Amino acid sequence: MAYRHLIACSVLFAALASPAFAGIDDTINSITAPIAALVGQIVFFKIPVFGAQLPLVVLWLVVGAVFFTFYMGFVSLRGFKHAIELVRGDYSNPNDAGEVSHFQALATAVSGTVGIGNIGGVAVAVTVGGPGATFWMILAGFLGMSTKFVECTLGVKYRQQNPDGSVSGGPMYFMRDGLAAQGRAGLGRFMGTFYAIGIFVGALGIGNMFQSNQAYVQLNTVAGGALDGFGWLVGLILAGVVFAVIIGGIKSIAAVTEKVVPFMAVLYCVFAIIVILMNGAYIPAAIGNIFSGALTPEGVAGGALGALIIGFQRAVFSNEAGIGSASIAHSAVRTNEPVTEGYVSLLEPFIDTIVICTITALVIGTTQVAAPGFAGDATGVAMTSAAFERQISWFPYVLAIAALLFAFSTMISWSYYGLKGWTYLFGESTQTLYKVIFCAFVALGCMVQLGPILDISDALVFLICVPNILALYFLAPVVKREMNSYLDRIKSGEIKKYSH
Amino acid sequence: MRALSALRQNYGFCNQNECRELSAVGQRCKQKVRDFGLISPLDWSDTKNYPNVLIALWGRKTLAGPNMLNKYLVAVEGSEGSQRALAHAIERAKASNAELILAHVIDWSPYSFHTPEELSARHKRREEELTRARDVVLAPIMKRVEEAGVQSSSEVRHGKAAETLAEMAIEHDVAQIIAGRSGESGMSTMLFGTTPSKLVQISSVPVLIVP
Repeated sequence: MAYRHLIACSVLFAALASPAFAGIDDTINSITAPIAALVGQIVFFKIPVFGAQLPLVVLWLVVGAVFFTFYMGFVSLRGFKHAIELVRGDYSNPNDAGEVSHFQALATAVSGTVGIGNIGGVAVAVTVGGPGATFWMILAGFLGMSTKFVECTLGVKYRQQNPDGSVSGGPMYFMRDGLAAQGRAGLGRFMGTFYAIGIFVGALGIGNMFQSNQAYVQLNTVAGGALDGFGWLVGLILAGVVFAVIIGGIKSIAAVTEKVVPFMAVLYCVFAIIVILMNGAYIPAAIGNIFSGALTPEGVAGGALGALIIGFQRAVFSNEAGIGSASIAHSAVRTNEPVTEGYVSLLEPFIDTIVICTITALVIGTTQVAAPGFAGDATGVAMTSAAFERQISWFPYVLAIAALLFAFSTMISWSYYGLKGWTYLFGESTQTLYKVIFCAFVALGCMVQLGPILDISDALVFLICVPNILALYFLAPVVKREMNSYLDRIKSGEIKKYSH
Repeated sequence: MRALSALRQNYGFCNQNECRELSAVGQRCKQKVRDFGLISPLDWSDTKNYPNVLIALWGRKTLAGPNMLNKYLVAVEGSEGSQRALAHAIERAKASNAELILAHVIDWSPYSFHTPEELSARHKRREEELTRARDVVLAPIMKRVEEAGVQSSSEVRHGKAAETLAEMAIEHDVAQIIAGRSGESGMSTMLFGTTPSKLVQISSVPVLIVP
């Protein structure tokens, strides 16, 4: 995949040298579309079930999430309060002040996941799967909480200290070391390598091209189409900024983004709720549609199962449960109890999917009830934007900035996840090569149509959930032991809250 | 004078100078000084016209413990204001045979936002910050205190300056906190106040701000 894209890249840069700028986007598009279709077909190998097409990977994720939810005894419900106490710092040792806190690990992981998927992905789900897809998204978010709990606990437990004093963690490490501890060293090494390849190639899709593409689409929408055919220009500018941060080490840009993104997320939610309230008369109908559409959707290919598949697919695409990326982000936290970070991480699908995605779905849903067909042919971010515009005419501009920032912070986060996969394979010395490739793909993302981008991103990301969930099955007993021992020690009073 | 000797006995103000400073607070405040038991952080509007004598008298019950009288917590950093506070603290410690606890706070919040790369290197950065604080900030100050013949210990912590100093004061059971006036000004000061002003408001031991 990367190889083919590298070819696409070189075609791009060759084309840049020619004066025919306006044709660049089309050229790139015609090259990537068939590739995307092919990859999509392979990864999303579908089996027909009751008239719906069920992609195997989606089945794989759902089964995994359901299993972990039951195996961990509904930790997503029972551990929720404890998760909030941990984030609040109730259990943080004051002597560890200055280390990465639970809050910081969560915030960083959330700003990696809260992205375009929360704005645009929901619109895609609702377009394809009907309002009922929202219901399945929420359910997928709930089940995903348990998957995250398992993978993030393991991420912290098996992280390693690098020679320079920094820490690295994530699925490739818990596969290698966790499985080795069970006497499956060979399998662990193989899976670790497979995962590492998957995450660094996948990072170029979900965490890169999809993000820059949707940011460009939204910019173009508010610019009234003035940027048509100039995707390459927007792409190059975006790539330049990402380059400045991840290669130039310009911390200030990253620092500003990291501060602005949470603010934008809150702003987005506040305005979304305002729009929902402005559509107040249609809230009951919209909520009714979500539930009735979940079981008896109209005009959705495959009926309820079709809606379920779309809902699950979009939910995982948004909250990344089962993909293992969060495991990399959370592993930097300083704690003696890996399971505490598991608890904290289960808040992530909650915030991302159950809260933010649902809010977006309601904005679109209420607008749909009020004015069916309000968005015309638009989907993705453009559709969400149109729903906001019906009530707040200037909001698309804010949304464009938010989309750009979300896209940017997600790209920064994913550049790190991909980098961890890359350095796991090739060591620290070749970092810069990876980063250059990453930047090239940022530019590429703005030049292609949404369809193929989404196919490629989905395919690559879902591919890595196969080894990840498999390893989670193997290591789930380890997590369960950790969890039970931890809970016993809380009960016995050995682990105490620190008074504040 | 009765009020002043009561102050000395109950609140650990050890020498005549301190008491004189207190009495200079002014007519309205004098009244308060006399019935100092009534003074709470809410009364600070009364003393704001006398910036060089900002002594919080909001007493704790434990204030008069036996260890109280001979320990001062000095807030130290690289600034000039902090140097003046230190000079004052040394004089005072000499006069009252007290021990100084030199406290340096590295600004940090558990609720700030960072990139994943920064988080992964955080533990190492923290060690570097602590080492730097000990070597660059505290070492010369400790030397100066030692040369003056005053007993001292030092501590570096991460956190929000005012809150952390107030916490440390309780933990070490000190008689008072001595800090320099900050040179801060402008918008953020108007909105959030300065570190010394915040310290004065939240501390549960007396605070002396040296101008």
